[in-house]
Amino acid sequence: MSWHDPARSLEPDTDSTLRNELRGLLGMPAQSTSYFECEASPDLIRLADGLRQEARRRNHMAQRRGSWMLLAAALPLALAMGGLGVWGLEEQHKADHLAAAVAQQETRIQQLAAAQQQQATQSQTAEVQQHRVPTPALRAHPPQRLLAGAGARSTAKPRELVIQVPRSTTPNLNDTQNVKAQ
Amino acid sequence: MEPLKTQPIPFGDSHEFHDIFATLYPRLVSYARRYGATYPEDIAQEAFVILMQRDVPVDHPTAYLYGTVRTLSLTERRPLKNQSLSLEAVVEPGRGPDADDDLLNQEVRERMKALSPTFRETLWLFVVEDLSIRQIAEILDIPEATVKTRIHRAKAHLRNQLNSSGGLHVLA
Repeated sequence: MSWHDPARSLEPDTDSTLRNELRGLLGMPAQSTSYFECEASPDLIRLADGLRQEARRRNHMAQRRGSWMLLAAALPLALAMGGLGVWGLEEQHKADHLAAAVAQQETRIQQLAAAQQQQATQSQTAEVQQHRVPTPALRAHPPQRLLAGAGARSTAKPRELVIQVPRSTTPNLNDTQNVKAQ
Repeated sequence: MEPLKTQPIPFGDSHEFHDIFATLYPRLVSYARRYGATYPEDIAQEAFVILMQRDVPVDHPTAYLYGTVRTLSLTERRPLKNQSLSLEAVVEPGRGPDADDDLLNQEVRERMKALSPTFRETLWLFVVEDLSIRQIAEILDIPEATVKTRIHRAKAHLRNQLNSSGGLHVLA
């Protein structure tokens, strides 16, 4: 930055003429007279240097203040980020624990299911073996093949062959199985 | 306290700065006083510090200094509005204490006072402070055309003043 102001040095002649004209109208001498001519006295020089020093000091302070302001502005953000990180880690830890518990529970359920299935198979086998041995009553009266609806031929219902079957493991209301007659 | 780092002088070498300061400082003090500043020296010094603090250099430092002094002087006056002071204590802009008017003779002072404060301020900057129209436009924060208009209207006013008092023939 220079003190030599181009706006003043490049002033058009018309402006200079106008200024001189106004000087005349005001009753001032036409020649440009500086009313504030002042030599650079030691006091003024000391003042000028002091002001320059003050400007530097303020700039220095402003820079330091800027750094502190930046730090102050960044601190809450950093704290928030840190808090979020800790919270996230805690949550991840919790999730890992839960996942392990769920896996353990699933394994236990599978084991229980397998044991139950094995038990069911064993009981079914035992029941089947029990049914293979004919009872004396069954021996005396073997199961007869009956034609369902033999006494009701007049009805339009088709004839069905009803075969008695041994009691199964699954619940059946009639203990019979319906087979369509051919 | 640790000494501050030596920075490059933003206004040329020390000698140039001292000369410019010696020239501009009394002008700025006078300008602040015309705005009724209570502490015109402080305002002029503050304007220099503000200018030197700038990271981005200004195109017209002189105009910038005048503009800063004007703003600071008006700002200094502003709190007075809220105080219960008599109107005499509040000085009209451009009509500060008469101390600096001693620079001009009685005739010039009378003619200046006859102008409205707006024209007087522009005329003062143009004729007495010897500033260019562009500088005045920057100081007052108005377009250059407005400055020219004000100067021409002030000139017309001065002419009328002289015609009515019969002083034009003396100039002629």
